[in-house]
Amino acid sequence: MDKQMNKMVPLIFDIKTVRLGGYFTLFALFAVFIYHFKLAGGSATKYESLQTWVFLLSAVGALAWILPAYFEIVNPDSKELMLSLPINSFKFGFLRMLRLYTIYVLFILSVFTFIYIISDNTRLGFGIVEGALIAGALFFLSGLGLASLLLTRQVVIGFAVPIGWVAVSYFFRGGGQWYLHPCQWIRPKPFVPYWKFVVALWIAGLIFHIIFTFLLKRREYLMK
Amino acid sequence: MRLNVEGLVKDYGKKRALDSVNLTASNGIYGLLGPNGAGKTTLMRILAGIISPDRGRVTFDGEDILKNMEQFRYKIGYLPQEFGCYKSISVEECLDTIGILKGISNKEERKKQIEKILFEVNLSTELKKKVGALSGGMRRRLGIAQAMLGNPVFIMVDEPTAGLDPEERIRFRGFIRKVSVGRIVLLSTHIIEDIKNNCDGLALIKNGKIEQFSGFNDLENMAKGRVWKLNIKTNEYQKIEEQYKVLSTNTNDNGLEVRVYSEKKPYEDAKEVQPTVEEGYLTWINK
Repeated sequence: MDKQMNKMVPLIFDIKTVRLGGYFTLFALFAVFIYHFKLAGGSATKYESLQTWVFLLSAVGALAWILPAYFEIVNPDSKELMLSLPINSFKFGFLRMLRLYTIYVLFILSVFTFIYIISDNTRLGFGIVEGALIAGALFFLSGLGLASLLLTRQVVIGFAVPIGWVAVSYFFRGGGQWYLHPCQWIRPKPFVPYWKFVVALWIAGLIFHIIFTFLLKRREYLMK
Repeated sequence: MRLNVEGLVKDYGKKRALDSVNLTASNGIYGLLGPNGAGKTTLMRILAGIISPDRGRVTFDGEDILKNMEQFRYKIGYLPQEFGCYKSISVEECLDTIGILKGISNKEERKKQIEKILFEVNLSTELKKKVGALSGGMRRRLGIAQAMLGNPVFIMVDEPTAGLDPEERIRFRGFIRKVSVGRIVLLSTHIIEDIKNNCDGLALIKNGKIEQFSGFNDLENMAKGRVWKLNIKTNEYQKIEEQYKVLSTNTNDNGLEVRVYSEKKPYEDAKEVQPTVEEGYLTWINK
């Protein structure tokens, strides 16, 4: 049999499938900026608050941006067709996710850079380590969301698990989450160096993405 | 082209979904007929490489496709019972994406194939329409269009006419006939009308067991000597129905003309008649 290979799905197609989730993130970010600049007045913690809100929104936004690209694999009325196609799990899964993730992280980091530039930068710490921590947190959360999505074959769970994880991280300052504390930047655990969180989040994120890519190959499991 | 299925077995827990299934098919349309839950979809999913059998072998032109499914998927066109993917994008974008996933790397080639197929399934005017905005019939036609992309040698359609109105059904059967040229088309259904005047071969499936027939006459003959025609008064119908399996009724000037299924002559004035495909099917299902 002649060996055939398929290409990557075009980026424009992925952007179209993001649908309302992506627009919602942009709209929410816009609203947060308007609130802080027009309504919060001259509050002393204005930039810290803005930073916190943008981070929390970016965590939810990462899921709204990446997860919809894989809804067709779990939706009952589309998955049978998708699973019959010659999908390469590495290209269709990992590489496609990486493309969406990279675009998103570059956008979010530029938003934080913008906040840093306009703020009184003595109050806000934002550099390479912080950037790696934010990117690591988003990588971890997208991996957790994608693995949960395929493991349970439920769209709601794909969102609920990472959002729940962020909620615990934020409200309990990463209590019980070891170094997998995505909100370390805005709600830091004291006396622990940042790099430990960076390494832990990236490694755990990679493990979840490997699980996700592995599950994409399990057609019979996904078909159930 | 020749498809050979040998001794296919699939269990779901304690339930045997497919029990030593054998099937052969060459170019043309093959109907796979059986009641709901008979094992049709399980067989289709195995042949589409979605699930794996517990035992058995499937060859296509002598090559074991179960061992080489990753590559054979490029040669398959599959329209599952449920087809509702990519509702937020246009018909053209949907087919373009599926074309890419089916390995048509060249953009021009993809465009050419999409235009040709959409013309064949009469959807050329809906190119820019969102998939979610298509009617049920149009969506089934889009389903068959995506199945034809990549010029597959083996097309499977699962319950293609479920939920379609009579006009769409007739049109759909025409499409299937058109696409079957130079290919093997396996059409699974529980609607006899879908295959009666449209298939080159036929297999019946029940409780995971399959029987292949060389033609529709063989199936009709299953009921030979068991289908009787009676002329009764309208008020006698209930009595007849209680005693025999009534296959069909027709009103006439004197009352009702009833076709019943019976191993023995039910009444003195009953006449043995040539069974139809439906009656053959009912005999096979109830045997």
